[in-house]
Amino acid sequence: MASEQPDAIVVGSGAGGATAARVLTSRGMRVTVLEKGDWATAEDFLPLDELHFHTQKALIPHVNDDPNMYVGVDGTPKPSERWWIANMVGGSTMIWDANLPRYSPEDMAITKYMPDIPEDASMVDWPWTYEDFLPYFERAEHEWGVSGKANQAPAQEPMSPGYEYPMPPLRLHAATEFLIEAFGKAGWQPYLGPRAINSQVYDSRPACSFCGFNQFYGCALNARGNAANTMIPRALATGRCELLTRHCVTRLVHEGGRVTGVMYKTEPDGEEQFMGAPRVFVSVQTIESARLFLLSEIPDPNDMIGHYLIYHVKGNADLTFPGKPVWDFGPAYQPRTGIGSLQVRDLYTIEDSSTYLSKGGKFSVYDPLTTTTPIRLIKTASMGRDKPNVWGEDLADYLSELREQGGVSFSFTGEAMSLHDNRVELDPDRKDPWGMPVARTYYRHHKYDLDLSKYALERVCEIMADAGGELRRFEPQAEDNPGYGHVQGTLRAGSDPGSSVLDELCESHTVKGLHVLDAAWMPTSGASNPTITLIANAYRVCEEVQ
Amino acid sequence: MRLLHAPEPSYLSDEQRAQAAVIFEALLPGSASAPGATDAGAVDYLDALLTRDPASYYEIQGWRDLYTDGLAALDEAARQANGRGGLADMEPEEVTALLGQLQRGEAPGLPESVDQKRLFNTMRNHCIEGCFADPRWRGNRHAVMWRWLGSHGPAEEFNRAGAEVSHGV
Repeated sequence: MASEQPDAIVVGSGAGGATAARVLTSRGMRVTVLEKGDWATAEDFLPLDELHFHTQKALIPHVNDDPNMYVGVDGTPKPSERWWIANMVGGSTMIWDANLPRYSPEDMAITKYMPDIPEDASMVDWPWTYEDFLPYFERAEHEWGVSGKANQAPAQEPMSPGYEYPMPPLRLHAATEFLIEAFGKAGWQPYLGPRAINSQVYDSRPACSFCGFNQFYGCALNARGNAANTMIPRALATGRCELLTRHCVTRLVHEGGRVTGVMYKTEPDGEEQFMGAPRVFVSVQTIESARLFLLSEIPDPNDMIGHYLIYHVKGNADLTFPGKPVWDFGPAYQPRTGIGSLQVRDLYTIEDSSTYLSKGGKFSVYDPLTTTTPIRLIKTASMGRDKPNVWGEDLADYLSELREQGGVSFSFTGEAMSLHDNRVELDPDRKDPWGMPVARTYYRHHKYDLDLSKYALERVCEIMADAGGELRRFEPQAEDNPGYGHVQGTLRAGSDPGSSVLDELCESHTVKGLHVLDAAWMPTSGASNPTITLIANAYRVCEEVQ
Repeated sequence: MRLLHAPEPSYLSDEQRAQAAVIFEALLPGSASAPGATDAGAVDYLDALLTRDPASYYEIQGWRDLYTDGLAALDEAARQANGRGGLADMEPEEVTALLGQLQRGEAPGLPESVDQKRLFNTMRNHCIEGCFADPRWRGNRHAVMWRWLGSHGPAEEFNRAGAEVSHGV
């Protein structure tokens, strides 16, 4: 096969690339997947150890030799860590949280739900509807193995009549019933969130053991779905997929408005080599895809490549409940250090006359020690708004509360304003270990983003205070953002070649045969964890492409 | 993939270990019912961390320099402030006051070359790591912090007198 040109080259073996390989091979195409990293196995993920994997970041690029250079409010470029990148077969799905809510009509038809768009923000409707995505969401959830339950709450993503997830939700976290009741008093309806984590044996993989190590850790049990245990085996089983590791694509090659292949290296100081194919599917995460487009001098008549970089609006709040025992109710429930289960989408759109905000976001709800391992949590120990990062007697008090009282932790994900100046460029000075210029990011959050984060956190804190909660950590979004794992934009897709980089099949307007399948195509940020929407889009594009 | 290492020579001198121990106990103090940095042997973690080959992790060399300069500067500042001995001779409340100044970048008597906030944040981080990391990294002695907090199983009562003998790992 090596001597023969494949029908398609897929750059990157993560969520988008692996899905592309699975779908294209199922349609009879011969596909070569080029992955910069190596295979990772249970050997690479054990023993589970917070210091090694999280604190000292064994599985992600280190900031000293493989950073982004970030320019924020102060205008000075600084190295920033790319903790959302994992260079291995399966990409970042190997270390993800596997939180897989869908984007919904509010995200895609945004102008309908956001009547007062700030003048300096570029919020545009997507060229597809939620209905266009529905069959691909459903296929993605079944093939990736998502546990969940349809139609639990009015604010949940709408489902086709009769549709159900392939597995029931993970068993309840011990805080769940208390939280559902507390939110119910405010008229809100949290629901058990969809996770690519097995609640029972599925696809020849076991159920989750609730080991306490999730995001940033590999799942040696394979209870958590990822590209390498769902899509890649299906692609390889066709006999039409070749997966080449330690193949770093350095440039996309194009001629006369058509892609002809890629240049790649197999050693950082090795020679660039050419591999040809009539179609190339790039899926190496948003910033990296923009970098590759810039390095490859893809024609950019509208000055849009790299622009409209978007990080979700984030926000964190933790509360403790004096008098409530710690959430540890025995084997009928998850341990407190488990996976968590609740999503709250009641602020996805905001109807509140006291604020100008309209398009909001959603919360993932945890115990402070759920999905967050102790060192990471305790470094953020706070005893209220004015006492962040405590130490001494305050830290001792914090730890006693953590030991003795039930708590709750909110992680907010919200719509972020798309701004032309938030962008990716090639850094003029720094090179990565493969000799390529690193990405330089420019990012400042819009005032809307900052107001949204604060508003959303205040709302949940009020409801929790009514249930007896006392605020501990309160971290709304800051204007500076050196980088976040939910990263979209930079190669916006749209119907009009005059105002987008990619078309409706995420194919370059200026270089035919070149597609992008990571979240770089997203015209706006949406307000949920982006990966199931990214995966559904990869199914859509690869089924529809001719 | 990683095995427990045999005991290695110590990077820190006995004097530096004593200085760091005073600071770590102020950062996470123990009480009659709760273990603190001293009970966890957080300084053993720090020493093992700094003793590691700098090639094994990119921040180690920077930390070595920071502690060498920072502990000496804090020790000297302590001598000037209390007119007695250095850090290791300070009362706990004096250490706490000094750390509060350091956190704000306002500790008097430190040379300009010492980045006070970075020094404080690094020591706080390492103290927490030395208390809550896996005992294979030499801190969290006998998993004392995990067992008391209940982060890797049910919470246990802490008994300082019995801590050494009743629980092996």
